[in-house]
Amino acid sequence: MAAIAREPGQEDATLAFLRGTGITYQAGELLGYATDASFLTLGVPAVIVFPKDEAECVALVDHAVRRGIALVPRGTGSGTAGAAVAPPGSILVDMERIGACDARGHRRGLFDPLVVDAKGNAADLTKAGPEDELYVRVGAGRTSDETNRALAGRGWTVAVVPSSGYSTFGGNFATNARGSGTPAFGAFGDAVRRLRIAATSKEGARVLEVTDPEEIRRLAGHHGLCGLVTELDVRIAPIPRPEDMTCAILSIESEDVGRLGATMGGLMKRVAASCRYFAGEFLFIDEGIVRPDDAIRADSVLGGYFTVPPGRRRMVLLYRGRKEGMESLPRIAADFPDVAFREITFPQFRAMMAVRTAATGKALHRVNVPGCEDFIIYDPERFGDVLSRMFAAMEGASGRPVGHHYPDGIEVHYRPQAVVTKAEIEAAWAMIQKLRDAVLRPELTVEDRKEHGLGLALFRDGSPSRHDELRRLKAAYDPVNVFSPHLLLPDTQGRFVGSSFRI
Amino acid sequence: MAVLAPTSESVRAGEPRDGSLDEGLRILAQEGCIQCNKCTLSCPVHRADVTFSPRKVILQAYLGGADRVSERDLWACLTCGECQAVCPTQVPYPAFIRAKREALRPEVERTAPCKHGGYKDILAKIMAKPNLNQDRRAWIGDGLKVADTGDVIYFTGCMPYLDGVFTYCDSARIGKAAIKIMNAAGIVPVVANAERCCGHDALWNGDRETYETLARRNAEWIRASGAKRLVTTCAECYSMLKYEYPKVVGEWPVEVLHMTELIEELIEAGRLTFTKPVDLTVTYQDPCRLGRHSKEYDAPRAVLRAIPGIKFVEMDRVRENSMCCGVGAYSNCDAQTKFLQQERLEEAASKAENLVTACPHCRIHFSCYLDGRPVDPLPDLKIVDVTDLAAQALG
Repeated sequence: MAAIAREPGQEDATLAFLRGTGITYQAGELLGYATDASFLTLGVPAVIVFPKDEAECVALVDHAVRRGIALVPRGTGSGTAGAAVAPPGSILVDMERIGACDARGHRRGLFDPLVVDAKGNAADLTKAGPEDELYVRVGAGRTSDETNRALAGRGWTVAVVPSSGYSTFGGNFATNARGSGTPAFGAFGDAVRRLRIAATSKEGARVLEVTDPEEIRRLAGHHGLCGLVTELDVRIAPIPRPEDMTCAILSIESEDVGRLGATMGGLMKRVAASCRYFAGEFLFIDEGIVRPDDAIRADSVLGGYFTVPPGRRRMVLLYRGRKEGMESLPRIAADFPDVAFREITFPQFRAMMAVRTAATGKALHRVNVPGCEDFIIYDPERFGDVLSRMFAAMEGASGRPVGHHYPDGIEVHYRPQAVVTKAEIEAAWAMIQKLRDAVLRPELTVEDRKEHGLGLALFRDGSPSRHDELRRLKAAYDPVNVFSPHLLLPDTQGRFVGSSFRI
Repeated sequence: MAVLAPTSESVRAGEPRDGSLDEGLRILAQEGCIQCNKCTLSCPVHRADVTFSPRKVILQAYLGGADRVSERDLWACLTCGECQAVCPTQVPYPAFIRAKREALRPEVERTAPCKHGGYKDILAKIMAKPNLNQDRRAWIGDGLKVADTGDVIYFTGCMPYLDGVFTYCDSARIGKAAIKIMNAAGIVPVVANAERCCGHDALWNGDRETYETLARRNAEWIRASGAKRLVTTCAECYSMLKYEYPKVVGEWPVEVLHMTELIEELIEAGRLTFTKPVDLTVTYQDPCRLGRHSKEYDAPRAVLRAIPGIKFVEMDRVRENSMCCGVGAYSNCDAQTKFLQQERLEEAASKAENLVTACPHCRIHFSCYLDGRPVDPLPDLKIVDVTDLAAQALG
């Protein structure tokens, strides 16, 4: 197994190697790389490197195999489970520039992606129709935001877009992220047709091209354990014309959150059975969710949703899909008299989604403390029970749950808010642990971290069958165990970095 | 409302209770960083130098390393505000950098690596002196009417002095155009010899003493003039006079307008009509100080759309997501800057033959790049000021 603890001379040899190859790196005081968006930490890595292409990845892996040094891959580091947190003595590998920069290593904000068909042959997007199965061949450092900017003018979009559209495709694959498009196309791994990965052998690095769909599905969610993914073919889909699309907003307001959840859970169950949709998203609205001067408050249609009487809670559920898949939605909504249904335009849907996307990280003068990133409720009829427990645990805390309605369950995200002081952040962290104890229960059909990956909790919380599968994959792709070896060790315990704040 | 100028009430609401925090950390703690990395991924400097990362600096500060900001991190930041514009919690990173530059100024040997021989620093220092005897009207020329007193001040900024150094720009034509337009609408603006540099670069480079001296000297003559409105063609002057001066000089009696806001108003009031077609295809560069810092995105676009003959095409990255011209407060200009300028000019050239901006400094920085040796070949692209274009459309 590759070394995690520092050994004499190893760091010097790495620095000499990096200087010799010209790979960009930073060493010395790396406090600023002590965590990712998980706020978990294992300490600080020995070095952070920024390879600019696959060739530099291969050189790096070669060096790691020869020297027995652990590599921890990182996309943009927006993961909230700690998979991209590096232990002391390891090399943190920032993959953000792979396939996204020019020969000088400068990251280009604009690019024109190569479009290919399912067989990998170049395709002409201008001649393609909705029935065509097309992909973009992109570097692992590219993001869906960048790709969508390039595709939008031609009326196409990345098929599965996580809420954090600025996260890298490599990171999306490593966590098998889900998001908008998942109801139609599955998880991110289901939308990948081919990938290249810099893996290891006993002799050094090797680059593998994986095209078998089943193997790709197994690798999806690999947590960086198997290698440095450098390139992927990612599924794209045509953006439906506004006239072919239905966007809807469903709203419920109640003092009794359990009743509210039971009602919406029942509604979602019927929607999942009867409708085909691209996106199903929900949020709880309180007065602090958008700033007092936010333009959405003045919107004649949407503004009303942002006023909530004291003591009551409002949940808003948004759906978007092709008209033919959404025909039964108004009829279903009519069976729930407490729920107000309204069709909205696509721009209005996007405006609400902007609030929904930002809601987990948006607050006036507060940091949103991670720790309860996501859990899925498989049986929508338990939604009310879960919300009751959740809001009881959240008593006195600010912040609000948001989430997705997927055909296989209701995905919930929540981060409490705290002023950036050590004491308040620690209190929020403690509250989250209480919340987790309250809701992560088999009788509620709840499973933890379905779409963010288990990260540093991979060994503790991962199922034995998934452990076995990951070990088999690791033996095949990383037989010398260079990549993130700590993730499959029982004694890996991340600390909450907020406890180290000096504020 | 200025993105970078939260209301005093909101600042108080978010203020950490620990009063021992230094100003930089206090600013960072007002809005909490969630380490999502949107700032870094959108940062133009980061694209050219992958080791430059606002997120990294913020985490380092939270963990006790606020005083160990490297010289590179301190000065490479363009303070363009793109990081704050995309930040889910609106962490005011440019304000943090400004505070750190101010706090560390006595300790660092080198201040801003200001180019052109430190010309702008020296100019600000001279302008801060008392009893300055200036002729700030020499550039105006015949046929244009200005006054010693009146309701409207035209604040020229450093424009009259720019052409001595940036000889390839003819920045004075922007001022002439502004006066021509105002005259056409029946306004004879005050152009005052008492005017001083607005202090923008001094403030953003950490020299608060010089900035506050300049602000007070300007406030003195502006108050004494009795004018009700102040118009400027410079985005930097605009952001200073509109949002920063009131914090320093107290009661502020004038309404501050960017020239494009005045033109838009004059057109709507029927006091100004463009009659002469200007047959150009143009795209528009949002200056950081006018756009993200002051949230004025619409007035320049309204002016361009009002000019007959103009074909206006937007770039892909506009408004809040607009890309900086590569230089902020003349504090940085290096190989990375050239890369950024190349990328932005390529984007502009893919849309139009003319890149229009509403800030003489964006115009200078882009023109400087085109006048030098571009990294890669560029199609023919002209850098034009919006006020200049508008003046061309007068009959």
